[in-house]
Amino acid sequence: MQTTVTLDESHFKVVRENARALGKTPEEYIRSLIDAADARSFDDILKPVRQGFDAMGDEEIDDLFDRAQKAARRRD
Amino acid sequence: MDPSRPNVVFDCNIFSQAISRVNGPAAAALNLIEQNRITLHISKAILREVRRTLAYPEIRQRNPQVTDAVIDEFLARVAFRGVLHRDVPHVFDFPRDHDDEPYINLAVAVEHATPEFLTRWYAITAKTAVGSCRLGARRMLFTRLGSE
Repeated sequence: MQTTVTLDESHFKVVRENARALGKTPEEYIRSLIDAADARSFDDILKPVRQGFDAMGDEEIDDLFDRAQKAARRRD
Repeated sequence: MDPSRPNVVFDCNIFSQAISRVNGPAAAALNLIEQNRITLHISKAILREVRRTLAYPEIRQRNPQVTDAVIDEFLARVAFRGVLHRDVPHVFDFPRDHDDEPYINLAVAVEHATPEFLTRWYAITAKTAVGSCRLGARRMLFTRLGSE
């Protein structure tokens, strides 16, 4: 089912700009907000990721993310 | 601004630690956001850096649980719980590390702090960062201006 939601210009401007900032269309952005309102918590989302880092020591993780951040900044 | 609900800006290191460790201070900070006890401010530049950092091939190789789908969901949650600033004026030059300017400029935009104050604040945090705790201390820092 599809339906139409009316937004005033100021709200749509925010939607459009936020969507652009996140690399989404306005429709995708609004859907993501609705999904996020009922979405998993940070802990739930990150649980498998954190478990994946369990075998690594703190310093090892520090070094890995340092290299990753430096590489990310070199792309700019 | 609600003084009982501080405004914060996380740098990429804080996101990294929150993603990698469940028991660290950064993970606790994420929980404070979830509980509406602090307000996280973000910008397009910050989200881009977090996404690019997590796309680093060695991270994906060493931890296959770090996938585009998880990162999309995580950043969607960040964007939902945080306040996204679309146009952050560039008011602060930080010659020692230009890549940190987006974080400082966002903090200025959030708190309307003066660059002079920020210079002092950043000097303090940088000094802490190179202390005995190395990056760990830096990662614990919230950019809470006005509460020095």
